[in-house]
Amino acid sequence: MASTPRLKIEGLSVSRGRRTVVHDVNLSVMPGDLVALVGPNGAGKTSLIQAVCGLMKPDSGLVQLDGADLSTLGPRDRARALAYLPQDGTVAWNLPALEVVALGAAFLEPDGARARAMAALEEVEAGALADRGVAELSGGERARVLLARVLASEAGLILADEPVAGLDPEGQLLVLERLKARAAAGQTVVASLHDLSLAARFADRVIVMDRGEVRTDGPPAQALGPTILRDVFGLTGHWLDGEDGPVLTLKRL
Amino acid sequence: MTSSRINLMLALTLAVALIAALTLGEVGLDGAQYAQAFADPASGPGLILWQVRAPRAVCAGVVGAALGLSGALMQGLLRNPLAEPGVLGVSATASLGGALVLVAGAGMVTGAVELAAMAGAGIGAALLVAFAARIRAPEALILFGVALSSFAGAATALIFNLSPSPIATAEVMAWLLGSVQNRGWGDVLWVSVALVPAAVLAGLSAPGLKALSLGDETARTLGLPLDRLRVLALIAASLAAGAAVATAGVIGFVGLVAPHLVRASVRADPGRVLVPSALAGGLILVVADMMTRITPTDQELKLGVFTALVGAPLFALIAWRAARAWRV
Repeated sequence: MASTPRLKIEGLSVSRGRRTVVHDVNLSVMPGDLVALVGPNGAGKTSLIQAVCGLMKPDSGLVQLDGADLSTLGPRDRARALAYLPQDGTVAWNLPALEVVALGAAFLEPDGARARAMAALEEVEAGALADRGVAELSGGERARVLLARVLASEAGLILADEPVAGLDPEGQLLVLERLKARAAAGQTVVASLHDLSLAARFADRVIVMDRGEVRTDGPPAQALGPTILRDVFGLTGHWLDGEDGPVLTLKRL
Repeated sequence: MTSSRINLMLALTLAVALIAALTLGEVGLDGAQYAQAFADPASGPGLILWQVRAPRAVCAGVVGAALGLSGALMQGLLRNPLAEPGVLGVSATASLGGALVLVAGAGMVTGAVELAAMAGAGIGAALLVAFAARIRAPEALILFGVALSSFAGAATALIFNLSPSPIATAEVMAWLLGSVQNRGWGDVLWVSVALVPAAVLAGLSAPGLKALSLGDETARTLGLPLDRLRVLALIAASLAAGAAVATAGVIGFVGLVAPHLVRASVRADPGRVLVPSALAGGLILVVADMMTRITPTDQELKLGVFTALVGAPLFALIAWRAARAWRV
């Protein structure tokens, strides 16, 4: 392939304490892809995302962003290259939403960061929340503000850990639509998701992890085939033709 | 209200409080005596005003500012509205450092007590930051602070216990109760020498404190040299707390209450809260020192005793509110 992958991972293994939580993972993701990272609890999704962010030190292996080794990037270059949306969305102080979003572009001058922050808030239909304190927002509103924070960075790679957890259906669709739109515009999105139906609907590609390893990696219909659904998730699934593309319905075995 | 307006307002109020503090003392001065004090600083009234009352009031102001700054820094660093040098044991580790030097008989060596107190504060604050980096629950940090405080208190008590000299023990005890009584311009200078670099380092660390609002991990991905900023904030908090303890003993709760009072006026920004917290801390302590002097007791109330009596219930109130916020 001619172009450089946005994210390339080779032979990556990560441990928490003595336990290996990511084992020999290889993958590469191209610009413009929205990749869903799925798998049961404890599959290693969060650890993989954190290792790519440089938050966990790998035991072995290589992480490259746009061809550059992650470990050679300084904090500022890294922040321009990747944005991380963690699962835990707490903000310690009751900062105004706009200020929280502007932290996403903290590597810019304050005025530039605020301009981007306002645009990002409007992108997630939360422009009206700009001056509100984040502690006074509902869970759904806060999730939008925190998503806007990673959008404001305009980083090439967005890593989102469970970005739709705890959101109502409208909120879930909004978050995934925005991430999809950013991918369509050339950014790369890797999002861990528990909802396989949403993963099937929005992702260009699904990576299934189980016990620290990548079990399969491919287009949704292929990656979420009957064997994987049964062996990894203990489910059976049916693919239906929906208005917006194929829809996956699930049942316990 | 913009932060420069709140800062100006606090600075003006602090100036008024300092002037009011100059009018308070054991000896009543009349108008003519004030005029004489201004005209001739070496006269009797001049000495009372410029060598007794003024250094005491200014000392209360700078010690309060150091405590307010230290509290605001620790709250930002640890992302916890209950953090402050007294509650989390940093004053206790600073006291331990100072007590060691005093009991060892090196109290007369210039700067020895101050440096030992700052080193003690630094060790205490570093332990807290190391703990907070590993344990996320904000309540757990308070418990760790209680343990640290108790341990440093016990070690200080052990020093008293084993000290051969009851005079040295009494000296350390009196110092630990917290007071700015009989402090001179030399003491003011000492706190200021530590406070100026602390303020500069605090200012440099402000963007890091704001980033830390999002949690340690997210903050690391925002492109700021977080480790360096955190170390700067830690050194600043230790310098300020250590200088305050070395000069005035343990004065609790000012570092807790000052940031709390001004936080809303800067929209909760842990970087912008630093300056108004220092000013509010100075104001609180100048007023508190006046209160100790006008309270009619045989022995003058110690400042540390007074701030603890007023501050502890306030701490309980703030803890109550914070615990409710953590639950959601």
